[in-house]
Amino acid sequence: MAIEWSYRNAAQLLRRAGFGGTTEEINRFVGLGLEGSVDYLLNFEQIDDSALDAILAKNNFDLTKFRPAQSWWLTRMIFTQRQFQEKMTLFWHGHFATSIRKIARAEMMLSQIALFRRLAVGNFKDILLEVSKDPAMIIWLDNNTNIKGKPNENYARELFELFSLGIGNYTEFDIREAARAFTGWTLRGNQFFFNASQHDDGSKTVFGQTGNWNGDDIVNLTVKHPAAAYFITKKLFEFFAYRNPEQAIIEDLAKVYAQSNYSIKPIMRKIFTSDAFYSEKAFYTNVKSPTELVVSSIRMLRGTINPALIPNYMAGMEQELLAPPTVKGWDGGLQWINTSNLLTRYNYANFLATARGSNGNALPIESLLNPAAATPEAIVDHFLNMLGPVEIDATAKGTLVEYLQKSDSGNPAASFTLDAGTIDKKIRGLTHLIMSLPEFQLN
Amino acid sequence: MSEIMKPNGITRRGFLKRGVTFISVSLATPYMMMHTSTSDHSVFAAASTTATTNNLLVVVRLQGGNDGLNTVIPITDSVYKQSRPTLAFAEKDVLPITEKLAFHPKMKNFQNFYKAGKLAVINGVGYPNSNLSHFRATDIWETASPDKYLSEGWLGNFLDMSIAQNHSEEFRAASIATVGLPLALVGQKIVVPAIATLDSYNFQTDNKYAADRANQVSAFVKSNQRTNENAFNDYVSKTGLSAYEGAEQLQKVASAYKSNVDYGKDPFSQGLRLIAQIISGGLGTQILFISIGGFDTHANQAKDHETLWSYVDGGLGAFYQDLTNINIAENVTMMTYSEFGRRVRENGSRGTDHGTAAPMFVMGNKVKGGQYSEYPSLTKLDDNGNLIHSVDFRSVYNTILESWMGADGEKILGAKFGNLGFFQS
Repeated sequence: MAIEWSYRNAAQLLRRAGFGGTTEEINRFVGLGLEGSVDYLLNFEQIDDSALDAILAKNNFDLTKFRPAQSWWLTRMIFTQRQFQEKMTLFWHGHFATSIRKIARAEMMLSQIALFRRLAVGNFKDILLEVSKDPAMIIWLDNNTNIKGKPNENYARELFELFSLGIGNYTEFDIREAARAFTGWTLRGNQFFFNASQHDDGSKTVFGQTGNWNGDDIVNLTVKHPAAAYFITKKLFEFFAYRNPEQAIIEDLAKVYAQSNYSIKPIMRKIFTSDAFYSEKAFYTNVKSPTELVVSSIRMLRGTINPALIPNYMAGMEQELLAPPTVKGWDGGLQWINTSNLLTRYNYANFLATARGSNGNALPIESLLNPAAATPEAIVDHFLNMLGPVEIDATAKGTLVEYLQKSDSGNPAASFTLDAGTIDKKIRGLTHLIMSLPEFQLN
Repeated sequence: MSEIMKPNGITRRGFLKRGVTFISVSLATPYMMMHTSTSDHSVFAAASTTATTNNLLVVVRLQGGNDGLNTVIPITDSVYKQSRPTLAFAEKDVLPITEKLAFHPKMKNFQNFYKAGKLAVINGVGYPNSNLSHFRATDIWETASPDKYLSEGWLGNFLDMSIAQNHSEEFRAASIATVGLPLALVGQKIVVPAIATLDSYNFQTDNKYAADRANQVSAFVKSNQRTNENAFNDYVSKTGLSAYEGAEQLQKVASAYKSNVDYGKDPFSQGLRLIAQIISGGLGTQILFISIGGFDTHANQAKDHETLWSYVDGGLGAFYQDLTNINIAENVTMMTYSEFGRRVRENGSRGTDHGTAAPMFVMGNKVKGGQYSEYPSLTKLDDNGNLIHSVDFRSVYNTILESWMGADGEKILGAKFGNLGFFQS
C-alpha cells in the first residue's frame, strides 16, 4: 500500500521525528515527498546548522550548572535544523536514563548527551560500548566500585534489563558473570580508565558462551543476542510511532537490525516509511512529553522564550532534562497527566500566548495570521492547523469561534473585526485555549 | 507500568472499568492517580492523645546544608572559637539557650519559642556514612533511606498509607515555594500539588485583558465538558476540570483569608503566609512543605547566613502569630531540616564546606520543649573532620509520625526507630 503523501502525514513526520515545525516547514516536507523528507531528516549531517552555534554562543550558558545546562539543550532542540538528531538524542537520554542527582556535575551529564548526539543513529554496538565507558554512566551505575573479587552487578544488570535485552532474556548467572567482565572499568581524573589490576581476567560464561571475556566481549555478545533485535526496535517504534505494536511490525524491524549489522539508521528509515507510522493507530496517540510540548509549541508559533524560564515550567510538568526520576527513564503516557502538571501545561500556554516582548519573551501574533483567513471560523481553522494540526470536533470548534466573537460583557459582539486590539486580545486568547485542549496534549 | 497508563489501544470501556473509582469521584479527589485504591487504614496505630488525624505538619527545608554550629552555637567551647577564626560568634552577641549553647543572633523568635517550652532542639542529627552531595543527601533525607535509592518519599508513604482518613484528598498535602515536587512528597497513589506561588496555582489568563477572563474560562470549561468517545480526551478533560476547580478553590480560600499579621516580603515568609491561607481554609490539609534555599555557604558565610536566618526566624514567628490569631496553633507542628551540616573548621574563604550532623527543630504548642540528644563533640571527629551524629534523623521522623500524625512509623519508614518523646502526652 503506497502512502499518500499529504500535509497531515508530513506534519506527523515532523512532529515525531523532530519537534514539529511551522506550516512553511511542513509544506516544504510536502514538496520533498515521503522519501525525500525521510532522507533529509536522517542524513542530518548534511544540513547546515551554523546558525544554531551562533544562537548558543550568544546566550552564554554556564554549562557547569544544572538549570543553564537544561536551557542550553532546550535551546538546541528549538533552533537546530538537525531536528531528528536532537530527537534521537532525547530518545537515548530516556533510554540510558542517567541523572545529575547522582552525578552532580552538569558538564559530565552534557558529555554523555554529546555521546548520544554523536552516535544518534550509529551502530547499537558502538553505542553500548561507549555508554559502558561513559564517565556519568560509570558513576550512575556504580561501575567504579566493580572490582575483581568484589563485583558490583548494577551496570551488568541494567545493561541487560533496561538497555538491551529486557527482563526474562538472561539469567542471574549471566549478570554475575558479565559483572566480572566489567570489573576494572572505572574512572581516573573523570575519564574512562581500564584498571587492569582490578580486572578479573578469569574465564566467564555469559549466554552459554565461555571465554576470558572483557566488557567489549559482553557488548558483542549482547547485540548478537536474539532478544536485542526485538527489544531495541520495539522501544524505538514505541517512542516514535505507537505503543504495543503488532508482532509482525517488530519482526520486520528485527530483521533490519540483523541485516544492517545493528545500525540504527536503517531501522528508523523503515519506521518512518512504514504504513503503520501513518496509520490511524499512530495519529495523536502519544501523550506529548513536556519537552515535546514546550519545544514544539515555540517552534510552531515562531516564538522566542527566554531559555532560563523554561526549566521551571518543565519541572512543573514533571520532566526535568538531565534528571530522569530513575534509571528506567520517564514512564510517559498518562503519567504526564495529573491536575498539578496539567495546570502547568495550561499556564505555560498562557505564558507563551501572551508573550509581548518583555524579558526576552515574544510571540509575534500578527505575523501568524493568514490574511486570507479573516472570519472567526477561518481563524480558528488556521490556528488549529498551525498548532498541530489539532483535530477537534465541531462542538469544540464552535466553542472557540464563540470565544472569538464574545465581547467583554460575555455577549456576542455586533460584528467581528480583526483590528489590532482584537488580534492582541482574542488571537492570543485563542492560542491559549487551543493549547489547553485535551487534543493538544497529544502528538 | 500498568496497562491503564498507556494511552494507546485503551478502550473507553477498559478505561472506565479500571478507572471508575477515580472518575466517579474525580471532582472530589483530583490529586489521586489512577492506581487501584488499596488504602491501608491499619497504618494508624493506637497513639497518644496528642496525635490525631486533624493534626498538621509544616515541614521547613533549609536547602544547601545549614551550618548547625552557627545555628545552635556551642558558645563556651574553645574548639569552636579556634575552628572558626572569622565566623565564631562572641558570647555577647548570641541568644542564650543553656549555659553552653546559644542561638544565632537572628533567632529571636526561636529563643522565645524555647523559653515558652514550645521548641524541641534535637542536637547532632544525622546517619551513618553521611553523603555530602546535595542531591543525594537531599534524597536520603526525603526518602528516609541512606542505603537504597527509593523513588517515593517518607511523607508520600504516609499519604499513600492513609488515604481518605476523614479527609477529602484535595490539598491533603501541598508543596509551597518549591520548583516541582520534593521527593519527600512523592507517593505511589497520591499526587501532591506543587504550588510555587498562589498566582501560579491558578488557571491563568491574559493579565492585560482581565475583562476577557470570564470568556476564556467559559470556553475552557465548555471544551472540557464535551462527551468524549476518545478515552484519553475524556481523562484529560476530567483531570483538567479538576485542576481548574482545585485552583479556584485555593484562590477562594486565599482571598477569604484575613490577617493583620505582618509577614516579611521575602519569598519564604510569603510562602508561609500562603500556608496560613491554606490552613485557614479548612481544606483538610495534613502536610505542608516549604523550602528556602541558599544555605550552601562556602564563601563569606556570615552575611548570607544572617539574612537567611532572619527570614526563617521572622517568617516562622509571623506564621505562629497568625496561627494563634486564627485559633489553630494547637493543631500545627513545625519542623526544620537540612540535607547536612557544615565542617567544624571554617575554610579559607570565610565560609564552611559540606559537613555532617546538625540540629533539627520541632516546635508547636503540643511540643515538649527542651534539648534532645547529645550535642556532638567538636574534638572527636570523623576522618573528614566532620561531627559524628548522636541521633538518627529517622527517629525524629518516627517521633513525629507516631506522636503527632498518629501513624505507624515503622511501616512508613520501613524499619523501627525510637521515639524521642518530644511531644506532650
